[in-house]
Amino acid sequence: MDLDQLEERLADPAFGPDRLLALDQREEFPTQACQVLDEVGLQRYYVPTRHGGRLSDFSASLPLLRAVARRDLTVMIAHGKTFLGAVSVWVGGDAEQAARLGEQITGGAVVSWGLTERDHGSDLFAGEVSAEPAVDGWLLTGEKWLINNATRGDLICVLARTRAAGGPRGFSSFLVDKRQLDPARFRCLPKVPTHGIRGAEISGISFDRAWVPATALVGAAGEGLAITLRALQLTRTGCAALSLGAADHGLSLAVRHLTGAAEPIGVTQRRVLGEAVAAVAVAEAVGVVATRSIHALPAELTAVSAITKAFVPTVVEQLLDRLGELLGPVAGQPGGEFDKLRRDHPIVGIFDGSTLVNRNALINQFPKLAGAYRALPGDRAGVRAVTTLGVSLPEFDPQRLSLLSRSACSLIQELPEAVGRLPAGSVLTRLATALLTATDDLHHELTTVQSSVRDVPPEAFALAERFELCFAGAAVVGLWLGNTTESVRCWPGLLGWAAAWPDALWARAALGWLLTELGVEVDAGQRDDAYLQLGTDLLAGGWWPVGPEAPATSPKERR
Amino acid sequence: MTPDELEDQLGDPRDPGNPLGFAAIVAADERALDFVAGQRALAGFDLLTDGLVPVSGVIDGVAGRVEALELLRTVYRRDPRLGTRITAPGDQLARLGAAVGALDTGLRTTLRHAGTRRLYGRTVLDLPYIRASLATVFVDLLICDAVATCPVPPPLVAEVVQVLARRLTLAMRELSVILGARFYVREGEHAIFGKLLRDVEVICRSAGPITGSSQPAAGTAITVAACLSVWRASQDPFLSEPTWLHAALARIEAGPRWRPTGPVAGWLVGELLTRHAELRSFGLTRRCLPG
Repeated sequence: MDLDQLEERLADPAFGPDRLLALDQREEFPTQACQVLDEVGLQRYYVPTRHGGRLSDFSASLPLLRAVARRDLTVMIAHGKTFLGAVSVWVGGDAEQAARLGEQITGGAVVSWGLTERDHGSDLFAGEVSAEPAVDGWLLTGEKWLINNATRGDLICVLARTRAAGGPRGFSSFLVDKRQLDPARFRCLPKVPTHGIRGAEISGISFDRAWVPATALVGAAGEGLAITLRALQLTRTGCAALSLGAADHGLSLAVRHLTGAAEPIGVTQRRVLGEAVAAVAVAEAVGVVATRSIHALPAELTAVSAITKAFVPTVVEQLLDRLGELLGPVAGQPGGEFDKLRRDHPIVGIFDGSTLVNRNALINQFPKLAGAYRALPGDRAGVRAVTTLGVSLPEFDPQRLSLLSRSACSLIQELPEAVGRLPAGSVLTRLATALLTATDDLHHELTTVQSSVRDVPPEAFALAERFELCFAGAAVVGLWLGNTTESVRCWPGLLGWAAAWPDALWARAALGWLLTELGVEVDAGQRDDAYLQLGTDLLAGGWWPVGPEAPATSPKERR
Repeated sequence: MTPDELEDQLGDPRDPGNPLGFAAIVAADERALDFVAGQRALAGFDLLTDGLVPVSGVIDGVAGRVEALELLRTVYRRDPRLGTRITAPGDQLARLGAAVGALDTGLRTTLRHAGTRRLYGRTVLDLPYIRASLATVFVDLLICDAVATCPVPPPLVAEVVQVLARRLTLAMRELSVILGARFYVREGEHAIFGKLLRDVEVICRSAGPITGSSQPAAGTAITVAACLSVWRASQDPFLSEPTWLHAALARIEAGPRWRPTGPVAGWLVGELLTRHAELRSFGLTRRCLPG
């Protein structure tokens, strides 16, 4: 299956907006849509090739997940949960366990991930679910809550306390096959009604001395938190696909609304739409470099995954609010497509570590990041690989994911070098130079933050937000330098939109947007002209996922 | 009927046994039904003929306007949809001004959550960022109240509507981030928040789409002037201090990323927690609430 084949199958009536809206209203699971995804084999992309699947390049999976999320976030979250449930095994399991799981998933098994508990949320160290050694295995006790597919799932990966005192080595991960559990020793909890993704099955599971075999243990006993934190680096990076799909969906609804209205489309409307396009370009740039970093800069994923998970959903939330203003009462219509999208998307900023949790994770790395920036340069070859589309990436090696120790951010460390390669005197160069100044200032301030894990001051969160913006800017500059209209022609995202490349239109708009967010004064007239141009081009049907006929046509037909 | 009398009639919204409280409101909303008990109660109070409707028209003078808005907010702090049914259709300014009541409940719900939820060995309210974030929403609420109660020249009504719609949305989103997963769950004592978020969104979106005549500078100027005039006119020990005004002006100027820091944050949070403990509204009137 490639993107074209997937797009073809997404034309199935199961993905009809009215049908999906009706399911949402009835809070019913989108069974048929998930079945279409099963049939086309999307689940193969949840399994690394070495374990029998088709996941070899995370950045190539991004457009697949985005294409589904563009139709419906509930469906993508419901189906994609299997990847989240399995990823601990890809990161920490042995070859035999991984091969077994790979076989099950490609065969259609649904896997869930039991991390959070009712009273502890994101505080994994406080988890109370326990596993005690028993004959030939372990006994699980306790409750996991707000778990996607906990009831539907065939398997669930559970983080459990294996040392009463807890602590960094006090937890272990278990891949629990629910079909083999003693039914008297566990029960699934009722589906929890939610604000959005109403059809998804958010529930929970409760164990009462449920026996699991020794082979259920993922990695070694005591490695649970380390495995989970590394697994989260992959899933948090992957979340960009969900938000990007939601952003495309929002743009598409806005275009449809504006072009369908009787009144002519005013300059302000075009400009606001173009500003949203600029924001999508920024979010996509981060999504692209982050997913490529999984392969080319894995040791830096501690920082990159936190940045991506905090930044991309936040940008898209903001963008959806702006589009809501553009749509007016249509956007507020309960039961409408935009209303559903607006209720669905906030979950991306909540699950898998909320925006605040991820900012906190980034703040904890400030001292190292500031030190790395002073000690320029970064991993230049790695940066070239993540910013040049089409360059083949090394195979993902989970052993190279690190925890805190080696944190650095080469993309930002290489920004001075990148800006130096831009042609002198252009508008883009002026914007990039302003970005570099902002990045220098930021790193100077990073060293002034009093680091304390318990008492993170609000000022540090403001710095984290600025760090994300500078990182996004470095991604934009890097992708601009690393590619040409020709080289991105096959990239099925906004960056592959040929009309946005002449005069560096997309990059100017993206940097203008980022600098404005950073509070840096820019030439507002020039920036707004770039937005206006992007908005006008988008309305002219230039970008295939968002044209008036979208999403019925596939990228191949449109290209 | 005065706002205080109406508050007493409607009772403590958090009392699970109150037929006009949040539990009943959420239950009706869950079944996609109109909140009939609330409609009957309001009909019984004869608010329509009491002159609730014409917030920006018939009631003259600032005092009358504030009184009328406070009456509306008494309803909106429980169920904005119920309020929308008694606000003059088309009076966007009144609806948005009344929605400050919904934001008040949103902030109250979030404060209760933050005070009881324990993460990382302490309550969420003990986390400095959360305190700053709550203080920011408090400042937003005061700004919205100042704008909603200031006299607006007719040519600038569209600007003020836009200012209120955007700031109310922003403030509710900020609260949703603090509530995290609990905001997303439609059960338990936070369930009212999700409903209020949706209702506020509907109100803000019905303020109309962006068309092209917007003058953002005029919107900012009115917002600043509204805060200044509240500060100048107020006898209230909190509002007559320049501290909140500085915070409000900084928020207006610096935009969505601004958070109070240091003693200013402490002072704002102190006032917020006092009002919460004393069951007073978070708006300019600091009114006593039932409960």
